[in-house]
Amino acid sequence: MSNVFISTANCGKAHNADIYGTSVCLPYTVTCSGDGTIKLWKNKLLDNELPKENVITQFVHRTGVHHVDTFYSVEKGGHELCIVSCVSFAGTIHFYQVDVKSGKVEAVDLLPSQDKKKSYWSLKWFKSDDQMVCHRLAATDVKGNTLVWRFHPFAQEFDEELAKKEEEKRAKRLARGQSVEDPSTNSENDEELKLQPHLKLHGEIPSVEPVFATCVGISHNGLVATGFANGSVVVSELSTLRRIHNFEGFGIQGIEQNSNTVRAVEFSPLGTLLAVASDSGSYGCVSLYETEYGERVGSLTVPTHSAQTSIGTFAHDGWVFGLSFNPTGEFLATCGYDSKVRIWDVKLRERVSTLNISAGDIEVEEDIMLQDENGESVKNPPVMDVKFINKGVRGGMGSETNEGLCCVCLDRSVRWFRAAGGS
Amino acid sequence: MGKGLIDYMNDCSTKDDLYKSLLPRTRTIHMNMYDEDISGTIETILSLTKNSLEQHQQPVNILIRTKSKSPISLKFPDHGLYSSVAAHQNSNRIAIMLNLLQTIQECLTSSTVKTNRDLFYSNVELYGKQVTVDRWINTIAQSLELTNARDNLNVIPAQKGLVFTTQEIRILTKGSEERINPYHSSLIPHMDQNSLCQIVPGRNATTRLLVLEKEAVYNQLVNDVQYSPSYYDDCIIVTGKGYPDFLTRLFLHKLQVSTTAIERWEIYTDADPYGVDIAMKYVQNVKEPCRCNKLVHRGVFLFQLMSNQRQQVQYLPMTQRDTAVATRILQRVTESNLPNMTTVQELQRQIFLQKKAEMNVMGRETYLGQK
Repeated sequence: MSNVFISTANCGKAHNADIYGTSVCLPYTVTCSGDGTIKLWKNKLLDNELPKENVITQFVHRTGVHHVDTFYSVEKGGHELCIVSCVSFAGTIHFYQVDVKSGKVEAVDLLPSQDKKKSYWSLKWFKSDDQMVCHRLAATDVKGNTLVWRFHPFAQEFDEELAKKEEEKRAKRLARGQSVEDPSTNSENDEELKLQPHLKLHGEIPSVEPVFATCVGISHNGLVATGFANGSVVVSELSTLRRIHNFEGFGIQGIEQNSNTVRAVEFSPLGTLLAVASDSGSYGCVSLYETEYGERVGSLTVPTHSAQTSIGTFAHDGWVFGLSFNPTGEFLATCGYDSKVRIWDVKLRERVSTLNISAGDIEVEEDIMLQDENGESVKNPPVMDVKFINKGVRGGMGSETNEGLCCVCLDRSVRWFRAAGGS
Repeated sequence: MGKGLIDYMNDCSTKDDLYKSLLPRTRTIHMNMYDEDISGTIETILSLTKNSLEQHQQPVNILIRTKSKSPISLKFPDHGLYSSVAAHQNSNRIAIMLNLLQTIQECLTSSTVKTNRDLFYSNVELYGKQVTVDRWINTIAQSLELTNARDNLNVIPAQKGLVFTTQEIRILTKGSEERINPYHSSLIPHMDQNSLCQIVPGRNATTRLLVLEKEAVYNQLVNDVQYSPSYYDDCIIVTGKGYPDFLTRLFLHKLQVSTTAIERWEIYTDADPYGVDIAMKYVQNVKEPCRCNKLVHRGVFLFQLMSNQRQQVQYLPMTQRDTAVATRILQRVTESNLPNMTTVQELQRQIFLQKKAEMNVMGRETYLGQK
């Protein structure tokens, strides 16, 4: 991947209030905002199409929406599923099923009713590539609990545990040299699959003390990470929901540098690394942890003063709000209050690229927002979230062949970039 | 010879009947306005209660009408089913009620004015908390259908708010005039709904009104202006010391309707959910006719601190309670048709960032624009 990113599209005044998060799935880039709506921006734009003319707006909740995540998958029988889920400031989770062909958005009720009472904060989908493992949704609540649900796209639920036992039995018999029937045969003769997406509670990782759980992540190798406002991160096993690692924050009280709130956690695509964004006073740090033994690998730092030694061990001159690994896991994108998006080489733990966001670089002039209603300048807008975009997701301006980036900023803008050059 | 229990049991076929027949005959006293004169009304209520208890030895049941549908019923001595638990509390309540009525009565006949703080200190043991006194005064006012509780009962709220002004302010109440002297910090003087407020024009054409949540910041600013008055514009600085009392809000309301134009109306609070709530209390108080909707909440906001201040600012973590409070306020604010976007945005940011900050950390030059 090239280290240079080129702006491909942007949209100012995308929402009427702060934009708090974004999520990218194949058909849409989804943003959520304090104005209470989510917007689905079409990804496959032609060169002459503007984002604002290709957007679906869905009102969610009057208190505002702060976290959004999307689930996109083509299930058995060619059923295309696109589900957008988001959390409102009132603590409610909302789900919307999007018909990609017609662009129709429909509110769906996936959550079991007994799980609706909690006040949720963040959520994350996990799309399983393994037929034996269900898709999952994890969500944290304001009391610090993490709940995990299994997602069943069809009315017939897939029994994960039974399938696992069968699989083990089969393996044993194979080892003994006995003949086994092919498991694929019995799944073929199933009756017609009825599409009825729903969630079923898998379990809860209870918090030891009531601390605000700010973020959650799920990995492909079966781990769940929860970040807390007091600086600690708990990594648990997805299958048993038992805690395996606990990374403590170094909370020092009584000084200006007291803040150590964890703002984002993100697993690398293979799940071997966990990136944690946390405050260090008014600066932002990004630490990397290896997930098998729970060792701290190091942190991403900007060299200050001289090129060789780093004085402060921070990644951004401001709190870090978003983290995203690229699909190969080689690069990590971070964004923060300092209105910068930085791309890091994960192996070398070095910064390879920095994007400076300025409110003035919005294409459509009347959509440029230099200050908010209170007269506060957003000329250098804090970047609230960043996501890597896989190859072939975005359209237009040569985005098809390269990886890209999408970020949302406090000047109420959404910006899309692509890596330069052909790869 | 009177009836024995066995007779009652024979007479009554059901448990409920028995219970009813065993109830003492009580005298019900309705507390509402049945006289033009408040003093007379209170007098009647007190004497009825006294006679009933002393001379007829009959329990009383005072029914107090409230805004909600069911009236408050105070029984003395306490009787009825399930009453043993609540008995102590109930007799305490009636004692508080009668005591307050009597004090009000004394005030009215001697035409003296007392603050509700005075009332509280007149019997701390009985009242326990200041809130109890305030609440009962309100209840009494409601039951007597007084729209203007504080002026009619001769009980006024204690002064809490402070005011500092560079121009003299005159307050005219019922013919008497009270002055707020310039360049002195003073308690906001008492006034009533019909008072008039006049600002004596100063040297400058423009006047700024600053409302501050915290007394500490108020003192700082007042010091600054006092020592170098020529540096600053004409200003009126007000603090309600946290949640504002009625008088502070009434004063601001009077300033708003006064003829002298005040150019800028600003309010500064802490960057926490309570600060937002306090600002709303000043600006959009719907319950009482003392709202001050010219006031603009200008800070302190979280992002204001971050961008204006390059030196380190201490942010405090939001507690579970803070988050819950912020969420509740946010829900309440967004219920209205036209929510104040600044308020909504600030609450959302506080919740999202899980941070709050005190207004003291902001430099004083931000509050007081120099000339």
